[in-house]
Amino acid sequence: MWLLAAAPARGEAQHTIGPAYQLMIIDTKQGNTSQFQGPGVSYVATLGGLWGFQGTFTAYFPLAAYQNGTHVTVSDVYTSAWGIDAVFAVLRRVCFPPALQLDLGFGPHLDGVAMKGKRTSSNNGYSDFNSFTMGLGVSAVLRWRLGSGPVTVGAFGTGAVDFLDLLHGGDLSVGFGVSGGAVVGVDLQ
Amino acid sequence: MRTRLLLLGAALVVAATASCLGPYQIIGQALDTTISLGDQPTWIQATPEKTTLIVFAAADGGFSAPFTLTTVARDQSATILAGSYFFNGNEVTLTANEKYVWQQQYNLPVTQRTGCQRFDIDAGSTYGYVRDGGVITLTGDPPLGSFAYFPEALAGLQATTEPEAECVLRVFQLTVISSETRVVGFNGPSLIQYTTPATFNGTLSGSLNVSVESLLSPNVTISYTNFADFSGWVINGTQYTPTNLSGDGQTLQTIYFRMSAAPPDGGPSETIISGQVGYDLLLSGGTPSGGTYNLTLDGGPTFPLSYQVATVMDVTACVATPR
Repeated sequence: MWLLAAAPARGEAQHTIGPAYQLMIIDTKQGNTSQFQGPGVSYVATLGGLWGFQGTFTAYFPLAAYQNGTHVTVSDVYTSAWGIDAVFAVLRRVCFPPALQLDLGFGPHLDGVAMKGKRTSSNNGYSDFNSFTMGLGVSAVLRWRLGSGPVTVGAFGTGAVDFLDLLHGGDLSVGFGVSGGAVVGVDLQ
Repeated sequence: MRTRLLLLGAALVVAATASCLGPYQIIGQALDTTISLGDQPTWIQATPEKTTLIVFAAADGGFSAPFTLTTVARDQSATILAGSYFFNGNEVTLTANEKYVWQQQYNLPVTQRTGCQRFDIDAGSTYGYVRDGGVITLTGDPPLGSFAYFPEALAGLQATTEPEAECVLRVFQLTVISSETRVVGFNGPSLIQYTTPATFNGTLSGSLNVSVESLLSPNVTISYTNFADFSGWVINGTQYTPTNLSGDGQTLQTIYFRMSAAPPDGGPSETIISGQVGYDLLLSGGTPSGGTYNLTLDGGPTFPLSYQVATVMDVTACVATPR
């Protein structure tokens, strides 16, 4: 039996952090599909009770990329590669007594990635790749409270559809972002 | 708080409108794939609307060999096809696997320009091929027409008058435009990636190095070292373009050029023409807007030529080619 209820959180704010995996797909109007994925670290901040605010932030490091289906090992081509992903969501909380809590969110999404092309003496190197897309995303955080204390463990996931790129606005057809991971957190007064 | 949100929103809208890096880059795209071919036969066809140059590398005992087909339009826009060719009787088959494109977009702010791009393609055509002395003719659908042997077409180059000097400058620009067209992102906002400098090989010989000082000081330096895309025409020197973030600034410094060719009866190459082009140009929004090219042939006078001379790429006045 699950209940829609006020927050079982012990404080006004819940802060969780944990390892994550991020996938981004960008389809361009020029007909290219760029995809990159890699591990990261996520931080989820939840404020409020039955309704509230939930921010999901992931810093990630692409390790593998695909261009029109062709695999590229990021470390072979780029000297540095990193990204940020965020969903700023309106929160709706669902509780499953006695210890489970599911926070569902919907709101604006941002994703930025910067990969700096290597330079080599033999063939001169590779071009940079970067993007900064915006759209709408959903987030879900499932928390399990350990005993009666402020500590929770759980998992999270986000999904997003982007339709605007601040760096390449005229060339973005559509972008998709997916992230997921495990979290451990604490409630704060 | 509301004011801050409005400012943030306005900033995002401005940024989105600016689209400040042009089209997406290609993941894993090598900046330069050119392997210099050494001096190879080059053919040229000039019309008032465009100038077309073909390099057919020697087959060197193999079945096929590399070629490039460079087209520079009257408005400076350029396209380069690169690939391989082979002869079959009186026909030649060209198979292009790379296409470089520079679309002249001086009417747009720098942030909205596409810049030079390279595409992987798989396109081929077969043409009827006839060679008659110093002229080759390629027939097909559409026909490419007749081309003159590059050294012979340029044999009459001189600069004793200003109109002659203007035409020499345009011939010089053929190599400059061709070289820049192969620099991925050049003439567009993604040129900023060359804050880490990169080197590009000439089709026939030499190289150019392109560098940008920093993100906030986008001063561009292009240095040529024995660079040649077309047989015999070699350039050396540096072009330096300091600008602000809006593309307002100058183009300065000097590039030296030399055209040489072997005489018809063989023997070592002889210089047909040599000199230098000094840049003293003004840029407004990344577009040439004033100043001069100072063209000097070795041992001759200096001609200060308006920046507008190079905006009309018609070399028919000084390049003898069949139409």
